[in-house]
Order: sequence, then structure tokens, then C-alpha cells
Amino acid sequence: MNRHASVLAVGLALICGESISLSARETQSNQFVPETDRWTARLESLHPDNPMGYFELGEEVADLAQNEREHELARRLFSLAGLLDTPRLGRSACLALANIETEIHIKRRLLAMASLLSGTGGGSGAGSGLLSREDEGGFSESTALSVTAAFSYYRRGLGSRALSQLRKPGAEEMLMSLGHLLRGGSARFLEDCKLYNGRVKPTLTDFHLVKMLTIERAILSGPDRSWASELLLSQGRPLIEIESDRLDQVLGVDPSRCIYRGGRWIQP
Amino acid sequence: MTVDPFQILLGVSESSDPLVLLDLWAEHSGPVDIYIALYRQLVRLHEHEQGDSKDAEIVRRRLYSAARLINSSHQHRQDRDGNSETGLRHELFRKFLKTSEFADPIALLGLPTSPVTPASIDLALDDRLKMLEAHPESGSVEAEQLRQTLRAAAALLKDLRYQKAILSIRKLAEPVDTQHEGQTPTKTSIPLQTADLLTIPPGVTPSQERLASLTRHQQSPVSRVATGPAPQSLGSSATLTPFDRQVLAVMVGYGGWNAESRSRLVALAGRYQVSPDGLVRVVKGLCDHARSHRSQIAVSDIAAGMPAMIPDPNRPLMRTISLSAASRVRPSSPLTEEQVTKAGFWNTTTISLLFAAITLFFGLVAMAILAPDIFFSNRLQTMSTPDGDLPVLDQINSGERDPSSMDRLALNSRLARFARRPTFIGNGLPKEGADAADQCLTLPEAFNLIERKLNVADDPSEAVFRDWEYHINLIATGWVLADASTRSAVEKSLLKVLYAASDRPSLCDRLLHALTPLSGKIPEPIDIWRGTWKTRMLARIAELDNMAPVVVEQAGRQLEATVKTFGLKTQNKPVDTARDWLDTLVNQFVQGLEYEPRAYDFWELWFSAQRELGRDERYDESLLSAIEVILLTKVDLARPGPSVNVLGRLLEMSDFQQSSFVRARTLGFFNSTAIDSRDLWVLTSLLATDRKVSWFTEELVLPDGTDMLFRSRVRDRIHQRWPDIPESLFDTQQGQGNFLRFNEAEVRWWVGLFDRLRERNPVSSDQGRLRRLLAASRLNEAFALLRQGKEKDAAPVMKLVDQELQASWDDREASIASPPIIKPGQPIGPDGNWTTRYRSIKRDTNQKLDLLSELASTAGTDLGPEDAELLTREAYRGVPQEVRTRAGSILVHRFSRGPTVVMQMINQFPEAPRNQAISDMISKLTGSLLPESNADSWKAQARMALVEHALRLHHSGESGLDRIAEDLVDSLNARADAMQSAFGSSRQPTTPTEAVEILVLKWREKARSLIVSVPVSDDLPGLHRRRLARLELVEGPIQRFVAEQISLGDLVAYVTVAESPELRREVLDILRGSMRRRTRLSHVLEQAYEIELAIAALHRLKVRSTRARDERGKR
Repeated sequence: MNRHASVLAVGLALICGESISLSARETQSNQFVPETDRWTARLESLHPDNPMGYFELGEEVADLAQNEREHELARRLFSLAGLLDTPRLGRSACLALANIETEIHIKRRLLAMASLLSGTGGGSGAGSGLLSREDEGGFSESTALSVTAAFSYYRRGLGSRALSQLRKPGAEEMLMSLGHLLRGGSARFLEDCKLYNGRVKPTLTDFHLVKMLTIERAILSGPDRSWASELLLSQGRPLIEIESDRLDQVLGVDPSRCIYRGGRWIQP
Repeated sequence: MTVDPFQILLGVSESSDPLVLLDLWAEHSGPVDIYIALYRQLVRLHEHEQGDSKDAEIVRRRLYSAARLINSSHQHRQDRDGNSETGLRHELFRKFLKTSEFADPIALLGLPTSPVTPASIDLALDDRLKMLEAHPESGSVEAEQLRQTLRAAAALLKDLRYQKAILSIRKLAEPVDTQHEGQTPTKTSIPLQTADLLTIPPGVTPSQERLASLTRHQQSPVSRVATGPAPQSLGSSATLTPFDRQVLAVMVGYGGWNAESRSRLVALAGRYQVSPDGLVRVVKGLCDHARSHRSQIAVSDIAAGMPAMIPDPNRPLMRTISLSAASRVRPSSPLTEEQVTKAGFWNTTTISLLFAAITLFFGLVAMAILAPDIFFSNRLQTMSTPDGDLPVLDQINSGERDPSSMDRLALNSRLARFARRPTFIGNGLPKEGADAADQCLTLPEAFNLIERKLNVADDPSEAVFRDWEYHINLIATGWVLADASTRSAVEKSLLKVLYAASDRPSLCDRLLHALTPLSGKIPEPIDIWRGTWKTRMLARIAELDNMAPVVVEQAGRQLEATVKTFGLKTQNKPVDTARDWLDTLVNQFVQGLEYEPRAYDFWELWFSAQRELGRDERYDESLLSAIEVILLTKVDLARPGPSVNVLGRLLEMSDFQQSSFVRARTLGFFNSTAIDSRDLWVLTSLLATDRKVSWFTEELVLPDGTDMLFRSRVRDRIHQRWPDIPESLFDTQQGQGNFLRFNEAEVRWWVGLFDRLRERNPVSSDQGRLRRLLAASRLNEAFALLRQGKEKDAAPVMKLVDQELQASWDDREASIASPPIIKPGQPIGPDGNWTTRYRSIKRDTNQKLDLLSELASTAGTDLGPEDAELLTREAYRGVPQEVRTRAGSILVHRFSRGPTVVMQMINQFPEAPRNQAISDMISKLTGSLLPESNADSWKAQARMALVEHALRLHHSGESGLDRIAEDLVDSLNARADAMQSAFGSSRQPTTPTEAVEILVLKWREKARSLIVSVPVSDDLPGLHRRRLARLELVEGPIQRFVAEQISLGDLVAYVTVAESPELRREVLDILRGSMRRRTRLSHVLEQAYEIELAIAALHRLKVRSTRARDERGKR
């Protein structure tokens, strides 16, 4: 009798545990909702008659976004706001998008579009801080001297001194931007600096030596460097162009699909 | 408190300076300015509500005094050039015109007081001018002053406001000088006397006060006849002048108005030099007096103090006088009262009636018999007049005149006149130049001697360098005066010296240093010649094919430094580079014109240097650029002085007959808002008075103070009148003449090149892309030249494009001309031995120095790594200083071509001290000019110099890309030069970005000159906004170039549609298509090429449009 009760108790316990477990999983699965679902109601309430609604929701989403999908949602909302009411919200939308954009080229494009839409042309700055002459591809002279000094120490096998130069403001960033030109990239260069520390010098072929000297010439020239130096550094990166009347191209969103239903953007 | 009447009436204090009283704003005001200022103030005073007061009279007199004071000060002034400034000289006015120098305009012109019309003013002016012309001294400066004053007087009277005021106040115009009875009437008496005899003008009733003042005036020592209903009877002999009496006496003596009395009156008037009008006025005044006073004119009034009338023995006495009375008329005895009274018939009443009758009769007869019919000419030549008051200018500026009034305006144009034609001659034969030229014959031999010394000695002495510098200075000083063959021989021998030194770079550097022209302000005129020659020589050496590469390269670097210093073009012909250098001096000379005592000498030598470089279009360009600089100054060119003298000389030297460049630049001045109309007035006046420019007539003179619209019309007129020279094929003026007329064969060739360029396959290398971009730019360059009718210049450019299109873009890398190569040095012996020995010395300075010297004599031209490292360390941081100096010297002189040594210089640079000695060492080693060692940019520039030197030693100097970029700059500059534009820059661009920016500016200027109803693709402000937004996205110089290129494309499209509106849709298609393609491109050079192609497509469109139009025309 006692044996049967024990087995029954264990079985009951097992069953209860399973139930608890199941209910726990259920609870968890209920908590694990799709990323946009928490905005669904708000999204579905949006209407093209009220472009500001898109913008305001976009701000909320951007503030609380936890993943790339939500960031993308914010971008879409800002873009739709800007396209649905370009005169009032176009510029604000571009600025808001630039604010959350991580890719610097896209950010520049958005800021330039914002300035065009303002009607004042360039020079508004739009708080970019990026649109400075130095960032027009020119490095500061002191940074260039630090990097070239690092090259000198590297060639002499004085790696620690090279690293010391690279700790100066902007120097490591500059080195990173030149990585595609260095043998093995900038990471390899930094590693070599740790290795060649006073006893052994790196062996450089003429080709690599000339390459380093060419890089030095390019960065020492400053913003007015020769075209050869510029092509070396920039690799022929093209100019970004924008048209003020083609906001849709810049934003990359179809404004006709501005109604959110069933998890999709559709036409009204 | 006493109220200052001057303050009330004129707004100035009584104690004010004469200039202030007359409201003359500069002591440079000329005599005519004084005259105008005087009457301006008089009118102002007259118009004041208290203008009739006693105080006003006092103020009036002070104004005259002030005018006289300033005028007399002019007569004693001499200007800087030794010219005297004459004032209005009283005796000359009296001599020529029988008036005072400050007589009112009516008196000055000898006008009747009514009516005063523009026609009568012009007639009177012409009369006076002819009178002046007939005088033996008509060519004098004083006579010119008189002419100017007369013209000023005429201009014043033509202003109705002034005219009315002057008519009202002329009685009070001037205090009258004392006139002694019996004397010939003085300057003021006669016209003013007759003026005083006038009754009040119709409708104007003088105040009692004015009448009283008139009376007071007339009771002065000079007798006057009262006018009007004077409250007092005059009745005294003091009221009649001698002339008045004689007129009366004639009338009485000859029995009234008849043939005899008339002839006697005319003779009398001639003796007293009274004009016919004056005589009329006297007679009229006497009539009025007699009529109004109804009082007896005593015989004594008629006869007192005057010689008796002497009867003409050939003429019978007047029949109305009894024989008895007539027989009692004896010579030299005055008519007595008794005699006149006894005549009986001639009582006052009878005289009054008689005079009343003849007044009317004489008025009718006088004009027919006495007034000559003078021909009136419309060609007025007037001086500058008070600003803005004249109806002519008002009409010009209001734009109310219709186009047909241009002729009238042209006829009414006014020349700026100068006492003598503005020009100058400076010292064009400086003694030192002449002496140097004489010695030039000895220079070939002198240079040959130097060459021999260099061939013998590795390390020549200082004397050799001194000789070199001395002889360079000689040829640079005397080249203008030396003959061409001597110059050529000298230069040839000089080049041999450089060749002899070519294996020693530091030696070359030092020799070439002597060829560097002075920077900064030119201290002496002769330095102009020196700098010109040196610049030309440097440029010549830098492009020699048969000179040692190291010399060419170093000359190039030195030239580059000169180019940077002066902002000259690069890759230009030596002559043009020298001319560019000369042109940079113009600003300095113009700024110094008004104070530099040797200004003319500077200019004279500048002219001679320009002439020696050749008289071609560049010569014209230099002259016109100098003219423009003068026009842009704030100096008043209407005032005689050095600035207008230089302007005059420049105009004399410019070719206004055959040079299309001169025409383009001159016409461009009219478009420039920076050039004042007043200066253009002076310029056109000088052209109109230049006999060599016979086609430039006075009608083409731009009046002072005109607006831009009027300027453009005058410009068009000048353009039409300009003699035939190869016409510009492209006229963009307001949609007129927008046709292109081509040489058909050339255009077909161009179109063919365009089609081939479009169809080329993409390229994969940067050099290929850049070369393709260059080809596209050259294609557009050729079009710009074709448009200007310069087929001969366009052909070689198109040929270059043709050649480029023959092969693949990427296959040309090997064929790009290599830069001059420096042969790198080589080490000798094992590395490290020297280092070991040196380190063992420790601190013994002498031994160190010895070892260093030994290294210099035993080593090669490079060192091994270890030895190089030690030597470099000693050169940078050796102790003591002697060691540092020795090491540095050896490094520079021995190892400057050593790649290993140079790399050590670079690698140890971060630790190198920063001082001038180090800077000099690096400078000598690399051949680069560095800033002062304490300059902020020194470190970067010094390191850059070392890096570039190292790259050269590794055969990686200037890359092929940069050479192609330089060709691109040349192409863009040529496109800009081909545009007719007033926009000129003294600094030639040296980068593609700078060059395209200039091109954008020129196209924008062109676009601004057009009126557009529907702009493409935006209006000009909109295009500018887009440009600014575009520039915000720029990263690096090439992207900046592309951004500007897009702006250029926009402007070319804008202008194309403005000139040919029917092309609007196609132009928009080209722009949109180009943009779509650009957004898909992944390389910045591809973008640049795409834009050039779009611009070429726009040109192609224009050609097609022109052909279509021609076809329609033929049909």
C-alpha cells in the first residue's frame, strides 16, 4: 500500500511539475511577442491625413527601439511623415533620420537634403558637425604628423614609440582609415608595432617602403592634396548627389503604402 | 544773443572758411567749380525766405569775396607735375569777354534778359566761343578756363530753377567797382549798367527794400539811371554815365532817330565796346527813364564831362537843328544847356515822345539790322557740371527716352577735358641698364670661364659663385637694351654652366638660386627688368629637353616656388610666365601712383619689358588688365594726376583697331558694376580725343553718372562702330545674334570626336579614367575655341583628342612621359666600419671631425643603413655644434642622392631639433624652399620635402596621375580664357578645382547678363542654393571638382536655353539623363567624365539647332 502511494505521489508530482512547466512556457510564449506588435495598434491608427502622427510615433519608436527591426520601423515612420507632408515635415524627417543613422555617407546625404529643403541652401550646418573642411577628407596636420612619426618609429623597429604616437588624438582613427593601404591592414600594423620593439626592425621591400612614403605624402598634403594622393586615400569614392524634389529617392520609401494592416504596409 | 545770419541763410557760420561758405568739398576744386559753387549758393540764398534782407546782401557779398579768395589761391598753385592751375583771371575775362570773372551767367554769355531760352543760350555760347577762338591767345590755358566757365554758365542757365533765380538776383549779383567819370567803362560797368536800366521783369514786383537798395546802389560813385517807379528823382549828372550822355547827345545832336544818329550810335557803341544789345538796352532804359520820371533831363545831364560832339564834315548837320545853332557847335566844346535849350524843339516832352516812339521802332529794327544771324550748332562740348541736376542726365537715368533719342544723347555727350592730354614719359633708359647692356658682350666669355672652373673643381670657391651672381645680374639688368643676338649668346653660355654643374645637385641649386626673382615689393625700377628676365630664364630652363634632368627638375622646383609666391600659371611658355610675373606688379604700381615719386619710371620700364617680350595678344591682355586695375581704383580720373596720365598712356599703347582682345576687354568694362560710370566717361573721352582711334567719335562718349542700362546701350553702339576684326562668333547680348557660325569642316570633325568619345568602353584604372576625362575637357575646350572663330587654335586640341581616342584608355600607362629621374646614390665599402670607429672616439671632437671628413672623401654617394643612421644622428643632434655642422654639410653635399641616407633623415625627423640650421640643411638637401623654422607649418612642410625627395630617389616622383591633372588644369584654363568676360583673375589656377571654379564664375557672369523667362533647370539663386548644398557633401578635392562641374553643367544648360528657348525640353533631358547615370556610378572620376560629356552634349545640341536654323533660312 505504501509503495503504491509513493508511486502515485511521484506521478502526481511529475504531472504537476509538467503542468507548471507547461504553463510557464505558455506564459513565456505569451510574453515573447513580435517586435512591432507592441506598436500595432498605434500603427494601424495612422492615416495619411495626419502626417504628424507618423512623425510622433516614429520618435517614440526611435527612443525605445531595442533591435534593428524597430530602428527600421522608426526610419519608415519618419520617411512617411516627410513624404506625406514634405513642406512641413520634410526637413524634420531628414534630420530625425540623420540622427539615428549610423552609416556616415547616408547621414551626410540626409543632412544635405535637410539643408536643401530648408530653402537656405548649404551652410545651415544642420547641427551636423561632420560637414567641416577637415571632414571633407582632410586630416589635421598634427594628426598627420603623429601618424607619419609612427611610421618612422615602426621602420626603425621602435614599436612602442610608434604606438605612443598613435595614442595621440585622431591618430588611430586615421590609421584605421588607411588600413586598406597598409600591408596586412591597420590591425597588422598595430600588432607589428608590439613585436618590433627595439631589437628587430621590420624588413620592408622597396614596394612597401614607397607605399608608406606615398601614404605619408598624401596625408601630409592636407585637404588640398594632389589628385593622385586623393585617389590613393579615397579610392575614388563618388560624390553623393541629391535632388530636392526627389525626397522619395533619398528616403527610399514608397509613400503610397502608408496604411498598416495585418503586419504590412499597404495602399489606402 | 546775436543771431548769425550766415547760419540762418546758408547753414554755416559767418567765420567759416571760404571753401565751406561756397560748399566746395575739396581744395582741388577747379576755377570753374568755384564759379558754379558761387552761383549755386547765390541761388540758394535767393530762394531763402529772407533772401531779400539786408543780411542776405551781406552774405552775398561774402560769397563773392570767398570766390575771389579761392580763385586767387589757384593762380599761385602748381601741381606735382609742374602744371599751373590757373584761376579765373579777371583781366582775361575783361580782355576776352568784357566781363568780370564772376559775372552772372547772363552777363557772361552776353544774353538779353528775356527771353532766355535754350536756343538763345546756345546761340550766345557759340557766339562767345567764336569770339574766343578768334583771339590770338585762344590756345592758352586761360582761354580754356574761359571756355569752361562759359559752358558752365550755359549749363546753369539751362536749368530753369537757376535761370529764374539768376534773372531775379542779377541786379545784386556783384559789387561794382569804382568807375571814374571820363574813363572808358570798366569791366563791370557797361553790362551791369544796362542790366540796371532794365525795368523789372514782367510779373515780378520788387519789394520796396529792393528798390531802395537799387537806388542806393545807383547813388554810388558810379552813376546809374533808376528804373521803374523810383521814389526819388535823380536829376543829377551823377545818374548818367558818360556813355548814356553820349547816346543822348547823339540823339539830340542829330535830331532824333534817323540814319545819321543811327550810324553815330553804332560807331559810339563800337568805341565803347558796347554790344548791339547793350546799346538797345541803354536806349530803352533812357526811354523808360524819360517816360517814367517825366522830369527834365538837364542838358548838363547830357553834356557834363563829355567831349563835344564833332560833326562829321562830310555829313550835313541834322536838318532839325537850325543853322544858327549848328554853326555854334564848335569842336571840343561841350554842348551847352543853352545850345540844347535854344534848339527849342528839343524839350523834354518832345524827347520823351520821341524816345517812346523809337523804342517800339528800334525794337523791331534792331534785330533785323544789328543782330547777326548766327549758325547754331548742336555739338556742345561742355565740362562736367554739378552732379545730377541737369535735365539731360535726369532723362537718361529715368529711362524715359526712347531708342531714337540715342542720337540726341550721343550728340549731347560731354567730353572730359584736360588742359593737356593725359600721358607721361618716364625714364626708359636707366643708366645702370645701359651700362649693363654695354657689358653684355663680355658675358659669354665670362660664363665660359665659369664653366671651365666648374669642370675642373668639384667644390668651386666662393669667388665662382660671386662671379656667377654678378654676371647673372648684368644680363638681367641690361637685357632689354641688349640686342637679340647678344642675349642669345649669353643665355647659351649660361646654360652650359648649368650643364657643367648638373652632376652636383647642391651646386645646381645654388646656381639656379641666382635666377630667383625678388619677392615682395619691387624696390627699384630696374628690378622690373631683372625679375622679368630671371622668371623667363627659369621657365625656359624648366622646360628644356636637352638639359640634364636634375637641372630641369631643380629649375622646375624653383619656378614652382616662384609660381606659388606670385600666383603665376604653371606649365606655361617662358615668355608668358615672364609676362605673368610682370602683370603681378601692376597692383603695386597702381597703388603707388599718387605718392611714389618714381611712379612713371616704374611704369616706363614695365612697358619696355612688356614690349621686349613681344606684342601679341598677351601683350594686349597685360595692357588691358592694367587699365582695369586703374579703373577699379577710387581715384577720380577726371582730375588731372598720375593715375589718369598712366591711363592715357596705356590707352595710347593699346590697339583699338585690330585687336579682338582689346575690344572684348574694353566692352567688358561696361558690364562691370565695379567700374564707375565716371571712370568710363574719362576713358571714352580719352579715346574720343585720340587721333589714332579715329573711329571713336564723341557720340560714343559715355556721359558721367549713367546707369547700367544706358551703359549697355553705349557699349552696343561702340561694338557696332568698332572696326572689322575677326568677329566673335557668339554674341550673347539679350538674345541677339545667338547663332553660331562655324567652319563646317571643323565642326564636323568636332561632332565626330564627340560621338566617338561617347561610345568608348568603360575603363578600369585611375589613369585611364583621368585620361578620358581630360579628353572630354579638351573636346569642350575645342568647342569654346571654335565658337570664338579660332579654328587654328582648336585644331591641335582636337588632334590631341583624336590621338587619345585611337587606343584603349588603360593601355597608356607606360607611355606617359616619365618625370626627370634623379640617379640614386650608391654606397661604397662595407656598412658599419665607419660607425664602429666613430663610436670608439667617444668625445674627441677633432677626431670626430676628421672621421667625418674621411667619410666624405671615401664613401660613395650613399651609405649603408648603419653608417647612414649615425651620420644622420650627428647631423641632427651631434655635439658639439661643429660636429653637427660638418655632418650636415657632408650629408648635403655628398649624400643628397642617397636613398638610405634620405630615409634616415625621414625616420629620425620626429626627434630632430627645430631650428633654422636644420631647416636650411633639409632645404638644401631636398631643393625645396621651406618657411621659417618657427612657422606653424614648418614641421609638416619639412617632412613633406624629405618624403618627396625620397620618392624621387625611388623613381616615384610626380605620378602620371598628377601630370594628367596638370594637363586638365591647362584645358580648363583655356576654356575660361576663351570666354569673353570682364571677370579677370590675376592669379592663374593651379589645380583642377580652382580652374573649374573660375570657369563656373565666368559662366555665371554670362548667365546673369541674359534675360530669361523660364529658366532651366532653376533660376540663378536656385542653382546657387543647389551648389551650396552639393558642396556640403564633398569629401576631398576631386569630389569638390565634381560638385563644381555639376554647377558648370547647370549654367551651360541655363545659358543654352536662354539663348535658344526651343531647346528647353532636350536640355532638360540631357541634364536628367546625366544625373541618373551619375547616381549609378561608383567612381568619382567616372562622375566627372559623365558631366563633361553632358556639357559636350549641350554644345552638340547647339550645333544641331544652328544647322537647323541655317537650313530653314536657306529654304
